[in-house]
Amino acid sequence: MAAADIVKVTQYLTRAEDIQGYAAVRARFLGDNRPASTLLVIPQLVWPEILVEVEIVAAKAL
Amino acid sequence: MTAELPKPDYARNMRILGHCDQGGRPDGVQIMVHRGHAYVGHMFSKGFSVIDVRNAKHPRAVNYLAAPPNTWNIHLQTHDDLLLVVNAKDMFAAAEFADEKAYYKGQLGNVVGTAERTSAARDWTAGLAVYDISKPATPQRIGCWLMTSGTPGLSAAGGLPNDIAGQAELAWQNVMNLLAKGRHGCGRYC
Repeated sequence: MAAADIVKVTQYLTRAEDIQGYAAVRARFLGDNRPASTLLVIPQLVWPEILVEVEIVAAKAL
Repeated sequence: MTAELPKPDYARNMRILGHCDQGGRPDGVQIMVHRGHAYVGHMFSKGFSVIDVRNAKHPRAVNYLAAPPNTWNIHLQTHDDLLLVVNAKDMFAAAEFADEKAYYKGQLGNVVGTAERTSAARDWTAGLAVYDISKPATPQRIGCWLMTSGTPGLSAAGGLPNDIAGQAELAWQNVMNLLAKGRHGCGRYC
């Protein structure tokens, strides 16, 4: 599989000011692919020093 | 065969018509029946079996499909001519559960390691496999659905950059590695 097989991305950030910096990295990995995307800013991830968590769902016909 | 089976202690108003040893793997957990064939997910035998049940008095195992290493298929569902099979960690094959009682004690995430801080490599396959069962006895795997369990921006050694650019880079690199290599580094997902 590759980035083109990603159908959904869910992203959790802990600081709204990180959205722009995060999006720049994501854009580099996704290229021209545009999966469904949800981005949330939440109070904290499991450890306070973690700033971002990414979940993906990918599907591929065999 | 039915004469050899023990009599039930409590069951009433039911009568055993036939019996099948599930192809020598008598540890079925979940059963779905479609087009006269039972799809049976195994607990200890991993994988799933297909049993022809069109003749209720003489059910017979006609196929067995093995799960990937350290993976079990205890949950499955049929929908029309599709069979959906869940791949998950084979809990009883894990060293953590050499003593089966450990499965029922403590917090499962801590026991199996999913609560650990590092993104250590896993030796089982997670996801949903999709089979075409238009020919009921011979399911054909036609697709898979890969679900990550969350990808924090951790390196394999557990290091964590202190800025968003570094963490995002690691998180997405982890995603790409998963997509490219699968859970086992062999390209197989489910």
